[in-house]
Amino acid sequence: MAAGPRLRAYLALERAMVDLDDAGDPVGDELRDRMDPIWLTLSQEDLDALDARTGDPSSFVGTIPRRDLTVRRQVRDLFRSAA
Amino acid sequence: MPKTSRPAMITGWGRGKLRFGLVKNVSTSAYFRSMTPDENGWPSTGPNKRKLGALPSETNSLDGTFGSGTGGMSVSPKSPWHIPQHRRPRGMGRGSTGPDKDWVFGIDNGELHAAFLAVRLDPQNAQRHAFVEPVTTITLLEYNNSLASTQRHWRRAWPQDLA
Repeated sequence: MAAGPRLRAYLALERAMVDLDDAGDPVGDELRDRMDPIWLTLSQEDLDALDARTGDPSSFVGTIPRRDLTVRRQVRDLFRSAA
Repeated sequence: MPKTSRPAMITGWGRGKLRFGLVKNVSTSAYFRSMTPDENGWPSTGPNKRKLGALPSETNSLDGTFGSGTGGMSVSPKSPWHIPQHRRPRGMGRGSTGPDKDWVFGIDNGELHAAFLAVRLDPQNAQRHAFVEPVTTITLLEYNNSLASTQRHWRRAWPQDLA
């Protein structure tokens, strides 16, 4: 899925927050507090994408899973071949 | 409950009674918050978003008091999964990136009412955000004292393997 500006901002702050948390820097908590109002404006689709991440946070922090576009591509190709 | 005993682990409410087990089938009367536990396993208290307490910035009243409709300490209704990913302890999985020292605690409506507190769902995000507000207008200090008085009523919902 294409991330909108708010989700991109959330992901950028999330990466910085986790880096600071890992370094034991209390500024990580300040960033966390700033993320609340952004999180509250995210769409359900955005939240589902954040929830779909698995594994250790170091492997996914600041990113969301790419959506599989194979089916969409196949449908588009079918329309093209029918035209 | 004895002072040094560990909080009970919740896993859901059924017909007004607590049930114990896995986090599932949580009724609509439960509210959850990720907080740092104290040395006895209760939520720490104080004016901090990772503790049981409110900050001066969490009211929208002009005089800094807290009351019905002013806003207050945030909780997540119905499910621990409605807590923001950046506040859910990392070990919970599903994209959680919050502090791994924190635990998720839950409380029932009735236990908040006993401390003259009430939950108001956030009209902008009723499904995933709510405010715990005092039922009458009080100062920040009184509000934080009231929240702290509920400390022993919060029950651990996560982690589940420390009981």
